[in-house]
Order: sequence, then C-alpha cells, then structure tokens
Amino acid sequence: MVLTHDYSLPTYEELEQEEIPLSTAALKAGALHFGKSCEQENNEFVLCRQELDDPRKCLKEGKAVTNCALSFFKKVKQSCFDEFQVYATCIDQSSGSFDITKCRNTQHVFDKCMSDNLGIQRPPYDYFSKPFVYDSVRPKPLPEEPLVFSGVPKKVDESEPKTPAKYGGRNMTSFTI
Amino acid sequence: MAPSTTYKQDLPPEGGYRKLDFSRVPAKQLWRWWTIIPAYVASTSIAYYLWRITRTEIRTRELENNTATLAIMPLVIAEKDRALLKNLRKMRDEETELMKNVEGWETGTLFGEKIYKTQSEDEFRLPSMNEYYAQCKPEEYFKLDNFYHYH
Repeated sequence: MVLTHDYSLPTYEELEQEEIPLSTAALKAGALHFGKSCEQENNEFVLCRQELDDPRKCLKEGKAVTNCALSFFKKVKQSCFDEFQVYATCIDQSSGSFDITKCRNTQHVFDKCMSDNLGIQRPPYDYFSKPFVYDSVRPKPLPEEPLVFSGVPKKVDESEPKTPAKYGGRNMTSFTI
Repeated sequence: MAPSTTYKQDLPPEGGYRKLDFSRVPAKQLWRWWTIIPAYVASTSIAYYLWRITRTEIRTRELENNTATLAIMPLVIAEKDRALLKNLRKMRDEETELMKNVEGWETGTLFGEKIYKTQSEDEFRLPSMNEYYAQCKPEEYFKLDNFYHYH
C-alpha cells in the first residue's frame, strides 16, 4: 500500500451510515422515481464528486443521498409495497440484464400507485440521460497551479549581441568540422 | 488311384475384368460469381432494411435502460466511496501491525522512499489493484475475474 500516516483518512465513525438493503432489480424498479424525488441531493453529490475528484471531501453529500434514498424507499414500502414487489420481480425475471422495458404492465400499475399515493410522477424515459446545467452553492474549485521545478536552465536572451561563431556557423546545415 | 471328384478352377471372365473407374467426379458447383454477388447484395439489403425499421426502437430501449442505471449511480457511488475509505484505513492499520518489528520500515513507503515525488502529501490517489489487494489472499484477487465488467 502507498498510504502513509500523514495521509488523512476519515475514521470509522465518520463513515458510519445505514446502507440500502436492496438488490439491483429493486433499485432499478424504483430508479426513475428515486432520481426525481432526490434530484437535489444527487446533483449536489455528483457535482462534488466530479469537481473535487476525492471521495473524502464528499462524504456529507454522499450521506445525504443515502438518507434521501432510505426515506424514499421507506415511503414506497408504506404506500406501494405490493406493486413495487411485483414490478421488481418482473424486472428480475424477464431478462438477463434487468431490462426495464419488458415490464410495461407492472410498471403502469406501479406508476399509478406512486402518483396517486405519493404524488411522484415518473419522469420521461430519457430524463437522466440529457445534459443539463446545475448551479451549486458550493464555490467552484480553483484550477491547479502548474508545477515549478528547480535546476531548469536559464533561457537565452535573444537581444544580447552574439559572439563570432566558434565552429563555422550557427545553423545545423552550415555546421562544419 | 484315380481322383474321386473333378475340380473346376475359378478364373477371370473372358477378356478380363472391367476397368476400375478412377476418373474425378467433381461436386456440383452452386457458388459462382454470378450467384455469390446477388446473394450478398440481397442479404445485406434485407438486413439493412430490417435494421432501419427497428433501430429507433432498439436505441430507445437502450436509452431508457441507461437512464435507469444513471438514476441510481449517485447512490451506488456514495456507498462505494464509503466502503473504499473503510478498506483503505483497514489496510493501512494492517500494514502497520504486520511490519512493526521490521526496523526502518515506514508505512506506505519502501524504507522511507515514497512512490510519488511531485504529488502533495494529502492528494487523493486511488491505489492500483495489486496494492489494494496486497493484504488479501491471492484467491480474493482472482475472484475479480468473475466480475468481468469491473475491469
């Protein structure tokens, strides 16, 4: 390992967080509604992660995402448990790649339940694939300063008067031995 | 002493046996240039037509599945980051414990020699896979082959 003791790492207490105990099929089943209802937290976290490129600096935002997801899936469990369960089972068993387009019937039932009980509409099918601009409160990080090396040779001053050429000429073509 | 029976010798027919046929019998040739080229053109045209009428549907389907995957990525990345940082701390402690009796050993360096010279001390750097699995059994590393999409 290349990590020294000078390298700061968060303690186990700082990393303590209840995780989502769901499988891929269930996450895919609730994906679009989750993304819509936790859009603010998700954008904040992804922007932080992309700009700072450091998981240690985005722990607070990451915990906000997971807490939002936990509350979202708890709400789904209270209101639309059966519909969600059927939809997730369909996604799990209809294809080998969790293809959500093969489960339209169960999806319609789930969407109706979500919009009736929780008021969350399903976003358009390409909603999270489209580029968009997100304005965060966190200031943008400054660009890195270029490295400065020692022992670099000094640049030749072109305005200095030139001494007579020592070996016949200054061009490579007129170089004679 | 006379022979009791008469024997007739088995001989070739008159004029000898017929000649064996050694001449070449070539297979009937279906594929010539005047059949290959039209078949190629026809199959390509039909396939292109079928692709033209279904490609919108195929791409829409892929886009929708990508959308669902992208929507849960923040959740997955947040969980992955926490697991990664936990593992890094665990492995640094493990190395300190393992090498405590070796004189001159400093954790994260080779007897004081650092791996990166120009990088600042606290800049995040993801360890390579071999370093990340340094404290594990080799079997654990080879289990990665089962998760082909993580390479």
